[in-house]
Amino acid sequence: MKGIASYLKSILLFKPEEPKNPFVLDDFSNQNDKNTGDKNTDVSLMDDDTEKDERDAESKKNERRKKIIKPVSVKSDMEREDENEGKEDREETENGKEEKISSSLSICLEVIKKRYSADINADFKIREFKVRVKDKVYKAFVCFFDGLVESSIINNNILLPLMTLSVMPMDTEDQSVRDVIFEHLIPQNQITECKSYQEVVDEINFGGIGIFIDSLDVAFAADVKGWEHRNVEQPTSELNIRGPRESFIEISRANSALLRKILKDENLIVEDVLVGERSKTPCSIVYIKNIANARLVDEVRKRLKSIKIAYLRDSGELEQFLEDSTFLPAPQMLLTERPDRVAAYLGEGRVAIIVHGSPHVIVVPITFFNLIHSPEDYYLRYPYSTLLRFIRIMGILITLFLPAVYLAITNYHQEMLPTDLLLAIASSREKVPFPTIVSIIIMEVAFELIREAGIRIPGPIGPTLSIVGGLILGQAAVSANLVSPFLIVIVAVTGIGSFAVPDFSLGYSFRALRFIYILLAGFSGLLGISLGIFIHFLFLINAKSFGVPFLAPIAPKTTGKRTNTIFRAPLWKEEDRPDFINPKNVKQQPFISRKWVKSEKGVRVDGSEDENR
Amino acid sequence: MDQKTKIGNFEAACILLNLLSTKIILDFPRTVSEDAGNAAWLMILLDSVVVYILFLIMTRLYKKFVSNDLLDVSETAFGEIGRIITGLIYLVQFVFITYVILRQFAEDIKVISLTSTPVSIVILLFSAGMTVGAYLGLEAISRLHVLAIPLMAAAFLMILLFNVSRYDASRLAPWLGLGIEAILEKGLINLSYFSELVALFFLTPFLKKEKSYGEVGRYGIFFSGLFLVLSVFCYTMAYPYPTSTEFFLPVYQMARTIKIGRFFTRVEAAFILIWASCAFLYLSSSLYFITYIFQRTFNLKYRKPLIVPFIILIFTLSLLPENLYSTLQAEMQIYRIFSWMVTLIFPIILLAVASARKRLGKRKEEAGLRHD
Repeated sequence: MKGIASYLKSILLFKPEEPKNPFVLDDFSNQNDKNTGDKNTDVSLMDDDTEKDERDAESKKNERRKKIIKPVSVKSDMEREDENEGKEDREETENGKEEKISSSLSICLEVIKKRYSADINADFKIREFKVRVKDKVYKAFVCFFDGLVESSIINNNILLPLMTLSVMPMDTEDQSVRDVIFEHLIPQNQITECKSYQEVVDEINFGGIGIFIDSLDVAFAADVKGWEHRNVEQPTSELNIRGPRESFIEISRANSALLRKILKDENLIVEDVLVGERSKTPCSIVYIKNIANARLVDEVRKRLKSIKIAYLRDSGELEQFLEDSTFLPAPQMLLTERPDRVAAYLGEGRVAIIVHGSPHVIVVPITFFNLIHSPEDYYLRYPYSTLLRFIRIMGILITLFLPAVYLAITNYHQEMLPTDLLLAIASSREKVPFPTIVSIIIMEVAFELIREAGIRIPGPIGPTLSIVGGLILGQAAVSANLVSPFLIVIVAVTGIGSFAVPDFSLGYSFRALRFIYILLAGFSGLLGISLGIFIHFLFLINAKSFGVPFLAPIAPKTTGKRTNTIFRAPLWKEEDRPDFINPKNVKQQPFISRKWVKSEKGVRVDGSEDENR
Repeated sequence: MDQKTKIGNFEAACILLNLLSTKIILDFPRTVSEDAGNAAWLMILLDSVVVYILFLIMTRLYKKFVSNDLLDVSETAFGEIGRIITGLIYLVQFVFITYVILRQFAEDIKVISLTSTPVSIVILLFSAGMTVGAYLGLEAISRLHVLAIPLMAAAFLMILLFNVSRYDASRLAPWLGLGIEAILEKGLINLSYFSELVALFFLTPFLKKEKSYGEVGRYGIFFSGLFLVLSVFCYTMAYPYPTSTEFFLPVYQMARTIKIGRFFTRVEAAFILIWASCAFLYLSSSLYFITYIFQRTFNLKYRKPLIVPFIILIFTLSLLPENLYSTLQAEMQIYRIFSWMVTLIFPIILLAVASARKRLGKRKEEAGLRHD
């Protein structure tokens, strides 16, 4: 889009636009030259007095200019400031990373207190105590964030052993103090030995506990996460009748566990990447090692690691940083809250990205057809799910085109309607003072308002909205002669159609595009709609999701047998994974997957040809 | 990721099919009826066979230049000047047919539905589609063809099918129409209806399987020939000569007569969707070829900056004819008379000369080696 804009500029402007730098002030000397030049041209027009005044003013200016030693640009100032800040930050970070843990506990305590502003940070806790190792007493302290950790684990698994068990006799004479503490005194399953403060800080920030012991130049960080979170509940936006009813939650490890619970595969890899310079949000790249294409995994890893932002809060934000095209009117990734759906896609060779703090997991690459599928399609029998897909496609077509086609027919192509229907529409519009396009836009905007308000409205006053909405979109609008009853039917059906779009993001896209189609139809009837369809499809066809064409396997047509696009094949016929993803292993089940049948597809189970087919 | 544009055989065949067959929904059945009377379908059948034979000759000669387009061939034959002249010739040919077809589509759609809209606005709408198509490039255009062509072919066949009740085979008599002389004489000129075939020789470097260009061409000619003959055949059976020369848009006329029960009596308005889709595909492909040929002719680095100047040129040219009649005159009296020579005979000459020069060069090299 930016390319098109700059291209149009270059065509329409006679002179190529010079690159603008908003922070650079023009050079004073140049400015002066320009002014002088301008004045020279105008000098003949000025009278003597003006000329004199002007000369005086100029001499003053020159004096002032002499006082200025060197022109200073805002950019250079800002840059310098940024650079200095960056430098400080960098130094701080580098120091933090490189600053080794001191063997003196008092220094460690001081550093930690300073790093966490412990005197004002109310939820940061430091507990000092003593440890006895090999008959010698060492000072120690632990630090953690209250609320992020599980207190009982700290008490029972960290403090209790260190403070009390250390006096018990142990055969540890040949071991160092560090080894004794690590191997005998901290009975915790996830413990890390840290050599720099930054490592400990990172662990503490993510629900860990830092353990510092005097005379040791290392610290220990134990995982004692225990923050409040939602339990695994039913999905809210992807409901189904058949199939599992678990949904992802905001905890990344719980989400990966939900996937492992379904897949039970040692080849399922969960690779962690931290995104966000400050938030350091843990994101996990999930894929099945011996199915997913290595280049695809590399691409996902590369894109994730290249993102430089301060804070990452949700997968919706990450999606916007990862997508191929920002302006394409369709999502290029699938965000789902259903573990079963992600597991199915991982099994096809796709890659999932879990973002800590988000109940939606990203799946890449996807095609347009994935977005119109529902997970329930696979749990229902083949004939039913095929019918459901048809109904869904009908819903999409209605959402996108029904108001536009109605407008085109009533304004430009009345001959298209059978006489009886034409008379019915004409009589219903008789008393309406607005042109059809205005009526449609009024009703569509009202519908969108109700929908948007319905999401934002507090629960208890929800019914009020539906009553008001019903009045606006109902009989009252007709009685007031604002719109025709026929139009009410059109808008209502359009609204219902939009709810049949299974993907939330795609639904938004269709809602927005519907208005463009209405405007095009208002401008030039069916020709306008055709133009819209042509351009819309061109953009969709041209789009890619992580290198995979968005309308594959239809445009471009790939050679694979499996075309799970509009139609769904019976499950026993889906032998291949989608070939356009280039999985390492295309075959997902044998030619005859139902071994109990005597023969299938003209071949017997033993491989011989079935003569009675 | 810097990736060279590549298209599949099916995609290329669909482009070719659309370029060759779009004229069916314009005035093609009527004009051939004017030329050969009841035997119009026979004339087109003969033309298809002749074109098929000419294409086989081209394929044979083209074997040595598979990964090159026609401009490379002309460079081999006549040097850089040859490439520039050939490029300009094809540029003129494509610009001419594009503006004529653009004006025809705009005029026709104006007559059918947008009666009060100025023709310039209709042309502007088409131009917008053309620009986006040419901007997104051959890959997007070809993939859209794959989606659209089967649907459009199905719609066309449906129109023919729903008219079955109106067909009368006796209307084809007399079988030789206006006579053998008329068939042969007009048939030669009407070879121009296949002039878009030359686009294939600009497509070959983009094919994933370059060597199968022959297959693409053969399928393209076969199916377009089939559709062209079928359209004229059915039209003549539905409207005998000389009635067949009176309808402004023959296929639209056939669509108008469709009645399915009491309710669906006016399905022809839906025809506009097919109509416009065909137009957008044809025109955007043409604009792509125009910019591509210009870029290749003058060895320019970029193609996209050429789109706006050429769309302005085509838009302006399409407004030059006074009305539809003068547009059709320009097509019939200029384009149809000369384009078959430029697009079917000239490439054979180019290929023959280039092959000869290549062979000569090889012999000289061999002689030189032996001499050494």
